[in-house]
Amino acid sequence: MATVRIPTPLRKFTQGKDEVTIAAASVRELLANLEATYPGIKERICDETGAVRRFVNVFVADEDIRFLENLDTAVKDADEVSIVPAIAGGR
Amino acid sequence: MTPDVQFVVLGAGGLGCPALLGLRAGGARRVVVVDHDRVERSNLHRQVLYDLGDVGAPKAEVAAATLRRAGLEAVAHPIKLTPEAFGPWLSGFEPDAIIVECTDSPALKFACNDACVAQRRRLVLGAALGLRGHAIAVAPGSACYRCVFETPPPEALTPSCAEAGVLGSAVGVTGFFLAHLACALAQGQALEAVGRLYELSLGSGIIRTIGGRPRSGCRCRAVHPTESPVSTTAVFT
Ligand SMILES: [Zn+2]
Repeated sequence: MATVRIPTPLRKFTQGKDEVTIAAASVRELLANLEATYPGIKERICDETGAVRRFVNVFVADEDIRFLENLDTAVKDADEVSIVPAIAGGR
Repeated sequence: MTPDVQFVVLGAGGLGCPALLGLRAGGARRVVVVDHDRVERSNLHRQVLYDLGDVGAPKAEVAAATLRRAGLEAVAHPIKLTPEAFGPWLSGFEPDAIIVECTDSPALKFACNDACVAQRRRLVLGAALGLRGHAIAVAPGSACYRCVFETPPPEALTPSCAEAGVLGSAVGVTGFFLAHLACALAQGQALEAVGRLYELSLGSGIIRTIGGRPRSGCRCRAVHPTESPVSTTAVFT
């Protein structure tokens, strides 16, 4: 099971949990399984075509998946997967 | 001591106030404060350069006057910045100026990033909401904010401060950190930090850096096509 770090704006989908564990062999599978467990969360991360939204970053073991195999990036059991959306704010 | 660099601080609110205090602490001597808003009573707790007597006054003027009393050369620009007019406006500043982006507008942050990249300027850019803070230093040749996030989040998905909750001390940490990066840039010390996004997760107390590599296809690569990222030396010595 990979550990997925959930950013604050998406914790309303995970009952407030900042970290969840998901079984998956790839990022694509991980996002699908995340959605199965926490319905509604995936559309905040991915657009209609299934691609990761351009203001969101997904990291596997601190590597940006855009520099790896994108959604096909392999996920290992001990990996930490982080979902990092851009922040809007500052006042 | 920070060399005699001009710091242009965009936004003098929850991020900008602590950033200005941090610049002062870091030894900045010349500062430009840009903000079109006026001081509001409800903001006083986190906009720590203002007091009750300033309510209704332009933030840029009050902030600059406060810094002048501390011996800095501070100039106020009480104007409203727009993404469309940002580039030409920015080009009027000294080429070596360090831009410190502290506004609450995602569109302006991206416009500022793009203009600084195009004009080969040094930039420190931040955002904070709730208990999260982001900070990045950008220099010619380094990865930029758009290498990390390709576009601003859409308005519809942007929570208001009321929804996300704003903890002034959390925003303050991010603002002070921006100033620290700016001073380090001015001293030529922050080279390892440049191009990396610092994520401050202040609820869990975790600070980490992400990214750092230019993204192929990012518009900054059109400006710096063959430049490799700046060399690395100690960030905080
Ligand atoms: Zn870039």
